[in-house]
Amino acid sequence: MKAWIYAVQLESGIWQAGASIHSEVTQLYWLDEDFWDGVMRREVRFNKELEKAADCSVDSVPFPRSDCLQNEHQAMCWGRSSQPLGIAVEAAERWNEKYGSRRLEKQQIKPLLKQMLEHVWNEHRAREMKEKNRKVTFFNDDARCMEFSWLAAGQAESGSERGLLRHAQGQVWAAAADAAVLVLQGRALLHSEAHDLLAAAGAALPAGASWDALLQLAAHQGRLRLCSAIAAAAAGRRRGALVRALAWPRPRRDCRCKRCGSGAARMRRTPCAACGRMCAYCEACLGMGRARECGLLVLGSPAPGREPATAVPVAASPAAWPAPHADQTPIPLADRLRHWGLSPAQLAAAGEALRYIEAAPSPLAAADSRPFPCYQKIAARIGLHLSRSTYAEPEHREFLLWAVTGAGKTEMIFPLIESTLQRGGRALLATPRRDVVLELDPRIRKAFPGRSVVTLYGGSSQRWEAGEITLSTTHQLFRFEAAFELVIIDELDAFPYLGDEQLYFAARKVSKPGGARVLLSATPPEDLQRAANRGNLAHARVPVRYHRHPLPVPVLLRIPGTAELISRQAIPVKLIQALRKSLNREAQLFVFVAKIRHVEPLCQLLRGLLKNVMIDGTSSADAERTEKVQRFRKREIRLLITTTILERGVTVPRSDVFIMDAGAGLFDAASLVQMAGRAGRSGDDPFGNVYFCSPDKTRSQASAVRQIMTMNRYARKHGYLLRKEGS
Amino acid sequence: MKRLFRSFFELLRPSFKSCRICGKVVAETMREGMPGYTSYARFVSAMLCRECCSSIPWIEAGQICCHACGRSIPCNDCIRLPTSELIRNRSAVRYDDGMKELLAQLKYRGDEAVASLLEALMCPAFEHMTSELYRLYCTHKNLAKYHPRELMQLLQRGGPNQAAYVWDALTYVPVSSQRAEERGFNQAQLLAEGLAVRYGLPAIELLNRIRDTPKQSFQSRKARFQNTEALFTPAPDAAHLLNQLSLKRNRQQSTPTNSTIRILIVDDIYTTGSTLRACAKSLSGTVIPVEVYSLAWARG
Repeated sequence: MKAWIYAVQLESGIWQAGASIHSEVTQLYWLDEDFWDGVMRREVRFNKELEKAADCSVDSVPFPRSDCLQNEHQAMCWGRSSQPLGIAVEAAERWNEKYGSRRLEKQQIKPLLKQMLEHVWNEHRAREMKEKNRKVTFFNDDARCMEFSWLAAGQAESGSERGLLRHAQGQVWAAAADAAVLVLQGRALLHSEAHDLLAAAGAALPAGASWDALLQLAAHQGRLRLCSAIAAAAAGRRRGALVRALAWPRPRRDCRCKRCGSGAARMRRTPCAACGRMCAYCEACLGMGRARECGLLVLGSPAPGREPATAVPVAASPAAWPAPHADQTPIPLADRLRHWGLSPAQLAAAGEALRYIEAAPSPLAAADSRPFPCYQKIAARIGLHLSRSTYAEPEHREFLLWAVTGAGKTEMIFPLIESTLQRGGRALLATPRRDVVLELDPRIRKAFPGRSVVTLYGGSSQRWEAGEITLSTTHQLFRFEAAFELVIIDELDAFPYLGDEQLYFAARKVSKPGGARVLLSATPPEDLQRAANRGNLAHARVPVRYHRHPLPVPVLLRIPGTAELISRQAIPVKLIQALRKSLNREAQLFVFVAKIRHVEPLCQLLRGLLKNVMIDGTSSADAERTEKVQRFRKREIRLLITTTILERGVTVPRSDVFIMDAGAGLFDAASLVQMAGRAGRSGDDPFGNVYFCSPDKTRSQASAVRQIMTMNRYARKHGYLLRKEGS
Repeated sequence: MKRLFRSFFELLRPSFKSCRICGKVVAETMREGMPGYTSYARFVSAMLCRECCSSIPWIEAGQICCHACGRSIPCNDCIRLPTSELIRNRSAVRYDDGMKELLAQLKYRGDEAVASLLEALMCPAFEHMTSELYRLYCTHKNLAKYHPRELMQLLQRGGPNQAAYVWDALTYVPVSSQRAEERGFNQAQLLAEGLAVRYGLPAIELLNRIRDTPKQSFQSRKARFQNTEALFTPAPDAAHLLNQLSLKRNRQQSTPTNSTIRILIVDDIYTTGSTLRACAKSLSGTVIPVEVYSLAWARG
């Protein structure tokens, strides 16, 4: 897609550059007084309605407008040919950064704009050349035409017929743009997605207007932002006090996907027919639609400095975020949590989390949670006083809820969601797995009957709806920006997303400034554990299950590896005895193996040794997986051999766990803890058995056992465990 | 220096790759002599895992039933429409569900990395077609005057040498400017350019699409033929390009009489053939005599 670049004078001497995807609307808005009046009239009326509805005064920020409408023939410097969107947007942004606050003479504007455009073009050109493995050169020099011309402002013709028409057009279009803004709020959508959403929302398109025109008008009003989906950004955070203080080496400007945050490594440059140059697209989020350098990304969050004029009271600026129960007498936390029926350990953790998310975002907390506070201290000691503005990073308000497997995490987040909704915010619950989303859906709807719940996943029918509670897979987060006051990420260490920067980027992106993120996990990744232990990350532990019995501690069985057992067609007596013991106590047996190809042979082997026991195996390659798990739940299958697919999210009452090849590289400590967590989950059989079968004791096994024992000890110390009878 | 370092670190990098279709890490690629190996797989065996490699529905030369359109089952369409400017079509694979998925990934999801795989899949069909035509047209050449090594290269079936002799140019089915803007690329162009680079042929734009038709994949057979009537025109400089190609051929053969040039149109899919036939029709409308063949990646 292509865009035009322009500059207008806002007040005497101050000029603003911009990129426009719809030339007609831009010219009308800046140059036609009648049209602008119409837009403004609509705005005033809208604010009045808002005041009536919200029962408070809304201070309206006047729209920026061109100053030189009167008696000027050269009001607007307009790029004669359209440029690729990415380049136009970047040039306009950088021009504003550089010259936006300076007073400039009129004759300077044209050469300065041209210079900036040329500079941006050259940078892009250099980036294209840097790419390796480029087969075809694809340069289109026609696109580099950088002529600018001056456009004259139309005189106000308030009385005439044409003037009236324009005025009416302004009003109608502005009203339609407002409707579009309402629908797009908090979203980050590609061009076609935005069109789909607007069409699905049933927004009316006034005569003669197109969606692009409305989007552009709303962007002029500062209510949403139009940018390119992939934009050059300074690469990464500047690390180190010295680097920041000296501002050297200067940050490289690399391509970055604005939806998923991937860097230049995941970009692919191909000749693009839409903009006529080698243009990058993001391979990392290709499954969610293609983000291109010349593709439009519509951000439904207002431009900085324009927040108060936002249409909906819910989306008021963070300052207006009401303190919890400010007008009521504060209700003690315990009373507020009582009706959820939580266990003492759950209560304590939920209370702590609630206190954290309801606290006003304090700058101090932000400073503490920054990953490298030590640099700052050192810098202060050696006399380098870094200004606060160098740390202009968005504030991280993250809370880790570290709850053991089977602790009842879902129940604990209900009060958090409730609190957010009561304060008029929107809550998001995201999890990497689609089946978990589908499983959570009925539970959430049951817990919050009066609230609107939207469930989003690939192929969801509620794709374009908005609700108070949003349940989604983490991939769907790419379609939101600054939308939620509370973001909860469940199972953040689930297999494909472990250590995935995209997930953290997305979680950070979707939460509103000042909003909180709550991370749920039974086995947080190493770096989060470390941050929590050092006190850099606010967290609460739930060391005990809801039935208040300790976690089963794994027993290590020294037996040969599975491959060897299969080739020898023999099972050690130790293992057989353990299996028999579990079967005799009427338990259901999970047997985890590391490789899919071991499932069938092991099945045969065990069938031969354990007669009269129903044994079956399943894996990700098995089409009847769901049925087999169902039959296992119904106790028709007593022993299920499986791979890591059943590692989490499966609750089978009265079950024991055997992990074959527990020392295999595939099983890290986190997945061992998760698999061990399948045992003893129900209240009537809290003492399951867990066996790690392996030829040797490895570090991950030791670490898993240690984690489980630490949690048990912690629980005992805090008195969360049930007293043993008789003691 | 930077380059040196980079190439050094490349050596240290673990060399695993993932399958282009299923995305799994390739443990073992298909090699000669393995069960399910066909010589057709040699171009793609490095890109795919064994399972995906053996699941490709190749149209092998022996399976072709209709010699006009290269279908592997008897074909009524070509009997119904016997005369056409399009002399012959060949396709690389049958259009089954897996291939459908693959093409959708390129066309509708915009995953341009798939294009190189499709291009590699087309190679066996291209080479077979080339060697067939070489035998048809070029055996009159005096082979004795060649150096033995050159001769070996020339006789390598369908290789670059034969290709350069048989084909004057590759071209592709154009998309409308609106679709190009929306999609950002022309999949047929990607395929044609890939083949052109591999075999050292020119890939040129010879056609324009005048109007945007509704997507062919939603159309019935009759509607498709009506749709494609007068849909393509020769590109503005097509006559000039064709003339140059013709002159070049004359120079090569040093026989000024025969200036017919052979052009191969590349497309992604041949279903009823209406698009390719329309293209061939408009190409042969110019003053230069042309023989038009087509190569489609899949035969629907």
